[in-house]
Amino acid sequence: MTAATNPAPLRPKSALSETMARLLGDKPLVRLLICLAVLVLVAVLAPVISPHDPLKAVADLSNMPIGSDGLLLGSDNQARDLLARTIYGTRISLVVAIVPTVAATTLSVAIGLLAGYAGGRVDAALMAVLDVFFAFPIVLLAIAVAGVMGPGLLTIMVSIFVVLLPYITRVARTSTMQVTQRTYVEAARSAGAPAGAILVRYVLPNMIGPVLVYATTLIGLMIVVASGLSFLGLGVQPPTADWGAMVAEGSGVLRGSPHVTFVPGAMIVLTALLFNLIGDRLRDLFDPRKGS
Amino acid sequence: MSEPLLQVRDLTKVFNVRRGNAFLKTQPLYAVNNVSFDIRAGEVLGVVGESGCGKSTLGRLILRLLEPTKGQLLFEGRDLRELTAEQMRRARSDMQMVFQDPNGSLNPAMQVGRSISETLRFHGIGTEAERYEKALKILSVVGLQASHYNRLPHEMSGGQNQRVGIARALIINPKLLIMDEAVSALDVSVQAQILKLLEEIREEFHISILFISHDLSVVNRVSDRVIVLYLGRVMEIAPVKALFSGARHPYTRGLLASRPSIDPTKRVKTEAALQGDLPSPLSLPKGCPFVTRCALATDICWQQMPEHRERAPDWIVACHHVD
Repeated sequence: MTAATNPAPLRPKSALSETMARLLGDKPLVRLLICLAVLVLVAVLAPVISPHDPLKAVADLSNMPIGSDGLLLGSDNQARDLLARTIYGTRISLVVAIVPTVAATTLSVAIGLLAGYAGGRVDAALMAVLDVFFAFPIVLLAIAVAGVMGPGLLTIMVSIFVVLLPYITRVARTSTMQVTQRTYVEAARSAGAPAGAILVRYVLPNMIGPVLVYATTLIGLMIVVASGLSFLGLGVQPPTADWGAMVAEGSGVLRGSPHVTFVPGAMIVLTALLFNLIGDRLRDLFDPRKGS
Repeated sequence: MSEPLLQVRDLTKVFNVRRGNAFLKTQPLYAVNNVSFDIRAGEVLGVVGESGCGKSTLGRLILRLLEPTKGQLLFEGRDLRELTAEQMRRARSDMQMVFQDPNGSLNPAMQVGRSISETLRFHGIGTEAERYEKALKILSVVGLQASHYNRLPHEMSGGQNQRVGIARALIINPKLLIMDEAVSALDVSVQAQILKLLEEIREEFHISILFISHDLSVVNRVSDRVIVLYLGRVMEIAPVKALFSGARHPYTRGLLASRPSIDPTKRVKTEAALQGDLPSPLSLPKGCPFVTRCALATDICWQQMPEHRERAPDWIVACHHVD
């Protein structure tokens, strides 16, 4: 009924879709995202592309060098295929870094919105609680969590979640406070907007940019942290393939067969770097000074 | 004359300002001080004064975007200050505001058409389709096209965005419109277009407008009556013609004499033009706030704030030395 009378049909052009279009039009970012997609594909398709079972000894000898017969990256200290273990390790590393960061970001945005918009005592109370979390060193926290739940994937993820929460919340709160002072928020209030509508449709879309940038950069850091916790034996337990645990296993033969350590180590560094670069690129794209 | 739309009585806003370090006591700053006036149905009431005189604070107090410290806001006889937050939110369907910064007052992440129809949505009026139709209609009232509906604020000019700001306020048919320096940020040519639009709107909507501006010529053009504020106090309230042809308060006369003139023979009006700066609002004189810059000042001016007396019909002046 409206299609005939409307001179300008509602074209589905929200600011969100426009932002997406802008981001996907940026070549450096698209290249980085393609790299990420490849990594995710490797993780998802691990059973298909892996040449061997990562948990079984398939080589004749342990610590065989790179380029050995049938084993592209050689074997580890228990004669397992290093390539297979590296491929399967992608799964753990991505999950253990991304899931808690996404979860922490979601909760942080909610808390940050509330604290930043309400201000005053609500803000002070929420921030005081989070300051307590700030005081936890991550390794100590992981040991404490492991003491309750035992070492494992979940332990690492819970630890990362708890540690990230206050950091991301600070960013979300600051961003919210800045947006809340803009005239368009006051304008919405003067027009009679209820608080919920102001938060969801006026504050949230305008405060989320810096938070996403920060969280993306943190994913890279968390891959390193998770590997470190696995290295210490707080994460996934042998024989599961995990980059951090692989580095730990290889450290015993570092002198004679450095590749057993270097291959998973390089994956940790490259993946962390990838997320950092994506975060940096997003920061540049969200920067209002570089035009919209 | 029928009852005024809004009666402002003894409206006062005190900010507690902390100077220097956090351990010092706060000092009261009277941003708006015992201000009383009426806005009549269908009139444009101008508010003029130098920066820092409390003009913008006054507009925000009326909408209770800032909480008044003291006083009454009788809107159609009902005191807005006695409403709960939710009642006040609903009451805002009768009173809307247009802001100074046309680009900054629109949500950068929202299509301007949506920003306009949102006002109806806040108050639960109409369906999505009806609101859309109404937004298109009001777009044409303010001189924009339907094709502007889907634009984002950064894709529009300042003048266009201010039209959107006006459309957003008008779509709900408010009885009172507060325009806070609504044309000050615009180029002179665009300013003229918006002022012309304002005149059309007055005729079409029969709306009362509180027109806050530091620009005397703009106020002269649009207003029926004018309030002159100085450091939070009302100095003079008068019909616009009377005020601009024969202001009585020495401050108003100084303000008018300080206007730049293109006629070189009229340029030197030293005896009336304002000299010096405003005193700090934190350490106001005990009596009349204008005493430090007033040529007529005597002892009583230092001691006692002059009463607001009606010197002529509809003409209120607060000065000891004006008859």
